[in-house]
Amino acid sequence: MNDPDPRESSNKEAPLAEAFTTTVPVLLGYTAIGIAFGLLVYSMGYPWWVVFLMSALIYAGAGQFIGIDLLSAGSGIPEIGLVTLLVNSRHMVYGLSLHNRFHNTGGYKPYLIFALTDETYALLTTTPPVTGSNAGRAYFLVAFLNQMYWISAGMIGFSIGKYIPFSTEGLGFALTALFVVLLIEQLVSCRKKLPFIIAGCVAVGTFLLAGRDNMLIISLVVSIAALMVLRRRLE
Amino acid sequence: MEVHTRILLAIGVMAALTFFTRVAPFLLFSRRNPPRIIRYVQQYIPPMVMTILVVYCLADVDWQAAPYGIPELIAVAVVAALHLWRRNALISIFCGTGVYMFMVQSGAVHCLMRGL
Repeated sequence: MNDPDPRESSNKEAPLAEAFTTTVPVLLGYTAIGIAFGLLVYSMGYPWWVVFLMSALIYAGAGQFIGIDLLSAGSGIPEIGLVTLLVNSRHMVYGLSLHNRFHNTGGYKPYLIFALTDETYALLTTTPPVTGSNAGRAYFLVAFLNQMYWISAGMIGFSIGKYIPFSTEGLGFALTALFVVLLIEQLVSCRKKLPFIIAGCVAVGTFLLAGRDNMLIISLVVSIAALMVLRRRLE
Repeated sequence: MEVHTRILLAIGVMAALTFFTRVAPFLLFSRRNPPRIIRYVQQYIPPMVMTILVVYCLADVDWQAAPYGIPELIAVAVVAALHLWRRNALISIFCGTGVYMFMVQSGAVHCLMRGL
C-alpha cells in the first residue's frame, strides 16, 4: 500500500480540532453501534459498569457483542477467551501494515496498539501520515477521541434502556447482522472463494456432529488444516 | 462462582486476549517479515472466521419448530441485500435488526404460516 504524501501537520491548527475533524465519521458510527451495545447489556440485566469496563478495557465492537452474548449464555471463561481470539484475529493483520507509522510515536505507542480497532485502523491508514515529532500525539488524539465516543455511546445506550418505550426482544440479532456484514466485506475483498466454502461446510458439519458449544474451535482447526492441504491450489 | 467475579474475570480475559491480537504483530515481526506460511494462513483466517461465526449465530435457531428459522433467514437476506447495495454497515445492521425485531415481536411469520 502506498501512503499519500507525507505532510508537516498539527503545527498550525490546534491538534485536537484537527483530530476531531478526522474522526467525525467514526463519531457517527460509534454512536449508533455503541448505543445498541449499551441497550443490549441493559436488556440482559447487567449493571452499568459492565458496559463501561468492556468499552474501556476490551474496546472491540464485535468482540464485545459476542462476549456479552456468551457471558449471558453461561459459557465458560476458556470458551469466551477462545472466541475473543477468533473474532479479533483480524487485528493481527493490521499491525503488520502499521510498523512504519508507529515507529516514532514514543510513549504513545502502547495506547495506539491497544486502541487499534477496525475504524481507527481505517482512519490511520487512509489519512496522510504525520511526520516528525508530532506524529505520536496526532495519532493518539484520533485514537483517544474514538474510544471516548465508544464509551460515551455505550453509557448513553445503557442509561436510556429503561425509557425505551418498546420491547427490545430480538435486539441480539444485531450480532448476527454484524457478522453477516463483516462476511460480505470479506467476500467482496477476497478473490478466492474456496476458503468460505470450506469454512461453511466445516462449520455446518461440526455443528451437526459436535453441537453448537464445541463447534467454534473444532471448525477453525479443521478449516486451517484444510487450508494447509490446499496450499498449492490457493497460493 | 460469584456472578460479579465471573463477569470481571471474563472481561479481564477478553481484554488481555484482544490486546494480544493487536500487539502480536508488533512483538513477533518487528524486524523481519513474517514467514510465508504465516502470511498465507493469515490472509484466509478472517474470511474463514467470519463464515464460521455466521453459522454459529444461526446454529442457535430452532429449525425444527415454528417459525422454523424463517425470521432469521429473512433478516439475514435483508442485511445481505442492503449491504451489497449500499455498502453501509450501519444501515445494514440497523434495518436488518429492526426487521427481525418486528417479526419476532409481532409474530408476523406465525400468522402468515397459519394463513397458508
